[in-house]
Amino acid sequence: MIGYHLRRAARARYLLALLPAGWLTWIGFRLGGTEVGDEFGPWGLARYWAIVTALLAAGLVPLLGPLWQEERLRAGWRLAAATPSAVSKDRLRVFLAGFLVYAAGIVVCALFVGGRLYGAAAWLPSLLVVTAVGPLLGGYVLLACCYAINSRWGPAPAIGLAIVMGSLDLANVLPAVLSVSGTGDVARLSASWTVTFEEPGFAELPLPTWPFLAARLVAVVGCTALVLLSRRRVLSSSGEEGGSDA
Amino acid sequence: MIELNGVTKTRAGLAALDDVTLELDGGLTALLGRNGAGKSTLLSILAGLMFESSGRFSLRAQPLGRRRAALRAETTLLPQDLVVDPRAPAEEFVRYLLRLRGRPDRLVGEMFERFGLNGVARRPLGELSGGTRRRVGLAYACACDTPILLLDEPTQGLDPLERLALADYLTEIGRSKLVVYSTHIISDVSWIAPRLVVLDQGRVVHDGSPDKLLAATPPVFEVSCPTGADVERIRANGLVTRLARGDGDDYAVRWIPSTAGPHDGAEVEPTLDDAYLALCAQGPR
Repeated sequence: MIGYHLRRAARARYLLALLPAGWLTWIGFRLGGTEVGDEFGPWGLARYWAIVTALLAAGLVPLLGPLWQEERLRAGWRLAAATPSAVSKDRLRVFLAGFLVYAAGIVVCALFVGGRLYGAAAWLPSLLVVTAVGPLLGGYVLLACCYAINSRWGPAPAIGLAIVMGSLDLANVLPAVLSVSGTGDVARLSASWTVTFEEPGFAELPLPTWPFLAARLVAVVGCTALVLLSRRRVLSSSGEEGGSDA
Repeated sequence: MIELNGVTKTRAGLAALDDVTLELDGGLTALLGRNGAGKSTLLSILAGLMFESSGRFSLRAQPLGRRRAALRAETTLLPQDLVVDPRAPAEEFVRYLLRLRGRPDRLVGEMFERFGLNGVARRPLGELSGGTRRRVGLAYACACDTPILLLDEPTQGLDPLERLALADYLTEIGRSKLVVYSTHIISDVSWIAPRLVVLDQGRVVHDGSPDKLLAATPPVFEVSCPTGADVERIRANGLVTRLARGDGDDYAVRWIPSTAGPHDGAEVEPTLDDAYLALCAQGPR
């Protein structure tokens, strides 16, 4: 059944949002660099990539909005006389479908970047944190928060705020303390976010530390728990067998 | 199969259903009533999607209380307003709904064939006409293959041939299922439903066969009126059940007098339309 929601989530508008992202990625990462590429070090490229990611997220996350606007889904659930248990499972599928569509865009672009820079093994893990793991974790946390908020309060303005914060985070402009995407801290340590495009030596580039990774792991586990608790709330609040008093 | 005893549903202080007592055992039952009579509310309660405010409700002689899972599992409701995902292809949407409610989808192909939907099975629902979307809804409701089928205004948007095909199918499945068919168009059900339940202002004002309804109908007269003023005079003295313009300025009027005779025109056999209009004009007893 997740295939049904995947097909609903993957829209033509999403592909259109990918076009400028793909175009910018190509300019930034093609062989020989661009007018900015020659002076770009790995972290400069990563910074450039973060801009592309933000563009991707800015195009993509609002496209996932209809997934949180449940009116049509609710009509289907009512038509199918779905039990609260079936409804909560279907909502979870909607969430997963939304994330998978988002993740597919991130992974495809990250594979392209990884393929172009695979020879520099020493800093590749850090780069992958910036290009793939960070946006994937950030996207997951963002969508999970949206899911949990919508489960509890409906499509509240908080969702819009979460989307804006998440997009800013993915663009690495949030302070590290607020960052959940996993990019801000590494980026700050790498000193690559200065206005100059100085290339640091590969040996000086920091690798993600265990506390850094542990914090992200906790965020993912916490958000997964939030999603699962939201499911339980749906089950307990509407009653497994209930109808409506309206 | 289903028993309602003194069921009342109150919304915003008004009684949408008022002391409804019904026993629905099987076969095709037509639920008639004017707009706002309470038909959709009754169907929602029968489908387990809404709770009654008071009264007793049992399924297969088991009181239901506030637990409606068993009722939902046996019931399919096709609502009057069918809201669908406009981007979903018709057949994929039906299969999704069936999986959502845990029903097998083996009948989907047969139902698409029966309702003439094979040519549009892959088209998004938003591209289909209202009548075709209605047929998709009917295909879903019938593919559910539940023992109880509740249809709320199912012929809305269907052309005469489609109405005929639906009537044929309902007659066929009415032999083995309980089908409750809500409408305010008598001709849709007059020759297929052996039982008519008429609701008016939330109350059951008739429960029985079409013959019983006809037998209880007051005398009906047909008269030719040369002018509109004559029609107004007839209106002032009774209920006009049909008004047809003649070749000239005259009118052919069927009417039910509200007072004792003598009356204009000749007495004629009442139709179900006459009987239904007379009943609704009387209001709840």
